Amino acid sequence: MTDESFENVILELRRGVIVLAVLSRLSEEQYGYSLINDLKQHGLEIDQGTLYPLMRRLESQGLLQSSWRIEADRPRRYYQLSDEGRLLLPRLKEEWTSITSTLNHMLK
Amino acid sequence: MNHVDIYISEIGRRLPAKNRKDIEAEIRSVLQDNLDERSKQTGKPVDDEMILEVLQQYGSPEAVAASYQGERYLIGPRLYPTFEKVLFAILPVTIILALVGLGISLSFTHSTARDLIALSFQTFWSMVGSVATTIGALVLIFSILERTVPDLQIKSKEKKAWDAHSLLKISPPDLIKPAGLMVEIFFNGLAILIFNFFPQFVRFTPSMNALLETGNWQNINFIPFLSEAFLRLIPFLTVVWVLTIALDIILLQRGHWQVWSLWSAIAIKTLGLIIAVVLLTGPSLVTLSAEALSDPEGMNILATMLNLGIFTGLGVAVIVGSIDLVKMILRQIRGMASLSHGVR
Repeated sequence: MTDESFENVILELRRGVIVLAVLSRLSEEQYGYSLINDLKQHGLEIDQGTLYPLMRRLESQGLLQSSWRIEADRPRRYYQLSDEGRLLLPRLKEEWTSITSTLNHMLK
Repeated sequence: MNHVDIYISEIGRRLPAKNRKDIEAEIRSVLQDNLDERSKQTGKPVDDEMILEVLQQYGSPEAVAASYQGERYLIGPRLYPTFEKVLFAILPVTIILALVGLGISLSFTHSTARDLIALSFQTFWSMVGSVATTIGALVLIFSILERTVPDLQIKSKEKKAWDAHSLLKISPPDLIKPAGLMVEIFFNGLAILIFNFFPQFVRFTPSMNALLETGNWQNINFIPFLSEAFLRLIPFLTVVWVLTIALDIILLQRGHWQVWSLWSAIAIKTLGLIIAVVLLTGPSLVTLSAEALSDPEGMNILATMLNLGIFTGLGVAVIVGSIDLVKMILRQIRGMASLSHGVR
């Protein structure tokens, strides 16, 4: 497998994981930059160019909600799980646990 | 206007107007957070160099704008299967109409071989133009639909409830039907034999009274009725009949259709259709001498009826043949598509 193919597969793997990671950190509202730092502290680095469009997409799917707020003399957009997102998150966590358990078993 | 304004403006002009202001505001806020963080880390105030570094890290305006728009299609996956179906249904018809046009043109041309070749080339380029125009028009229509009718519910086959029992109703598409092929061989062979070796047998009699009265065939007055125009086309018809027989024999041996045999059948059928169109549009196929019989008026009526009968028969043959040809081409195209997806 070439490096490019490897990178593509990793990208595909991360794409699905990032959605769950973002949703899991937005039980409490956060603005984008703080979320990036939060994820980084947990060991998951996300490119800003990936995160912001993703959050907008999750908002358009009804899983997140956002609001503008003036803070430190400038506007910031805060994101948070919507009611639908809060209902969905436990199910996604269960699914994730099941997938990782299966794959861990397969990859032994 | 500072670097950030220019940068955001460059992103904004690549975004759809609907969300432009909102996205621009968000990017401006994010960039400000980045600059604050960097200023805190380096202990320096924000300057042009720092702004350019942050912008460099954030990405080119093209890439940032593209990330907000997702994948974009001229014709998206929702409408593409329908587009493909419509295209593959219309294209063969376009080609056949062009070929029929060629047949009609040829039948009205009484010029040299050079003129015929020039006409064929002209028709070919006209056909290429028609195909390109058809594809272009369909792409235009579907790309407009893609953008203007976002909620159009065109259910794809895959999404419809499917019953595996429906497979039982489908006959294996590649198997041949031996009885049909044998009948075809018989009649094509008969046509070759009669029209090439015994054309004198293709005759007509207006009355069987002589046979009934005398009991002797010799006393019946048979009149040859095929015109010169028809007889001139017999060599071409013979080529079609011979090729049909050859293909049928090979199919009987193999027991199933293959890609090459289906294309060959399409080619033979197309040739047959062109000849049929030439016959239809050409001079009268029947010549009956009114003076050959004692009842010239009745003979004229018979000649008209014969001409009309042959004309109607050929017309039906052309229509049925054209439909058959379109079905064959569609089947072949579907077969090729299935092969390319490895599911045939």
